Amino acid sequence: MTQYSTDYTIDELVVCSLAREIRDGEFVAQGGGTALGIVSVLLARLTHAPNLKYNYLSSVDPLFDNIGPGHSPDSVRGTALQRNMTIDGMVSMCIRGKIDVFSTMPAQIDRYGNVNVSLIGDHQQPQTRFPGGYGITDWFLYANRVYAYLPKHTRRAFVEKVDYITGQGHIAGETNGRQRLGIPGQGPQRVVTNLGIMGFDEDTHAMRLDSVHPGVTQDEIEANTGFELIVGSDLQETEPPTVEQVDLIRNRIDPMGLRKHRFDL
Amino acid sequence: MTAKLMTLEEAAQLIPDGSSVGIASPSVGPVALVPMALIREIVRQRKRDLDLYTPIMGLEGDLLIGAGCLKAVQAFAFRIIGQAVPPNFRRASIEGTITTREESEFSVTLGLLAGSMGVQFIPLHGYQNDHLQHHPEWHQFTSPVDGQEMVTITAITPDVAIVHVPKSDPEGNAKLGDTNDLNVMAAFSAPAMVRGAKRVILTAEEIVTNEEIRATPDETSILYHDVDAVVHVPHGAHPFGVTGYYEPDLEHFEEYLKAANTPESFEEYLKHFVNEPADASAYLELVGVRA
Repeated sequence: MTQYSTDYTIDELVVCSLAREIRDGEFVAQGGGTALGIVSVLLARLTHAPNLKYNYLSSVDPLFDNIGPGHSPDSVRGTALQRNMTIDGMVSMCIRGKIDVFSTMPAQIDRYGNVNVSLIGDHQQPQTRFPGGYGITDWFLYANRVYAYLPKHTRRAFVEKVDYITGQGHIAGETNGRQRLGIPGQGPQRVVTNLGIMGFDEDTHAMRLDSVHPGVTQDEIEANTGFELIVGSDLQETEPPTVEQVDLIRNRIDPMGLRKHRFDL
Repeated sequence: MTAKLMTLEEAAQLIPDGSSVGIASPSVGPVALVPMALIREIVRQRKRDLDLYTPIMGLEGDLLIGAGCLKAVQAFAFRIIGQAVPPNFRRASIEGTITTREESEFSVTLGLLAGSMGVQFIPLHGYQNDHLQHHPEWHQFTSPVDGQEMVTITAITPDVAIVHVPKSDPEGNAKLGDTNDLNVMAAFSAPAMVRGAKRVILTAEEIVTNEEIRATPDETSILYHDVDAVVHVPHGAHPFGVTGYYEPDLEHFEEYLKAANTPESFEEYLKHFVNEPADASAYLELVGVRA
């Protein structure tokens, strides 16, 4: 019988929700932009997906399970399958469809899962300039399934149309739009926030509310979303983290709490 | 053997106003092959309207923007250390005084690959994001093979590529050192951009003999036929580090970030660290480095 945690924090719920999307034996491309992503990958490997492999900070499948100082991937890169996969190797692997899962934390996301990590406002004269997309454009095209997570579910983040499409989501109103454009990846699958988990409708690909976190209401989520969400008849409450997951996150993978970046504001 | 050794002043004169300039090694971390001494010389010579091509733009590009040398920049990321957006870049973006052509890791990689191979472009399918609007050199077409809509990721072939290497001989046969210490882009992008550029300037920590290059042939990454100029500049990457030579000067990065925060304090920085020192040695003395 699964024992659920009663004292988990919201960052831990997001980590566990992302980890549950990774299936055993898959290959995950993990960027170094936030710690939360790598914590979810390591958690999946220590629990239900012992055979997953991953790429992190240019190293292929380093054997480590603690992201604190002294246990950085750099210090264990000697245990990787390949110490330094340069970008041409990464491009090759990705375009040929070898990456199953990618997740990222965008600044904006829209109804069809287009994400923006580039700028807010006018392209030539933005109000806010972000550090740019790195490989997010590419993973959103070529990784098979992509996930987004946002620490604050707000109308500023969930917008009808993103100011800049850094990563392409689904094609509005086209069931097979991505296939028509020759995009191999299936695109965004789920969006996990501090309030709930969204998916995308199979036919229209519009964003759909799938589950509401414990203690949060459907109204609260709809009020904080800048477009109309589809709400299905089988709306669930999000599965909380288990005692085992929380213990692994806090005491083994991330004792320093690096995953809390932007979730603790 | 043709010697290509020259001074920083002479090398910078090979870069006319309006040139496209490729900085071949991205500065995602503080250990990078960035030719900072040459970049400071470019500022001293008051170059204008340069168009910067680099995978990741950091302190080096921000210095050029703040000094008024750049009209445009093309990169997939803009970051100094930590998550900081480069301050002069941020200001120029918001004021609309710099043209930014953002792209992605794969488009930079394929653009550099095409340039290094001497082909016009490499096609990508499905690439329909907002980067497209800002790249007039990318063209949409229908593949004659399968009718698929595609985009030409056009070869990146800057007028001049500049790179700081640990070792070069006088002819431009050069070694990049331990590329495991560089980030995911550098080991690929430095040799690729050198091949694709119309002209190449190397600055080097050490000038070694041709015999020394031949003694460790496994480590040679850049060949003489791509290189036009070689400049001997010890500590030429400061404040960046060079593996096997010196650590990055992280305090200087902090000082830069603080200075670049306002146009006034940045002017002071430029005066103090770039325009006033008589030459590269005077700069090193100023920042407390013994070359």
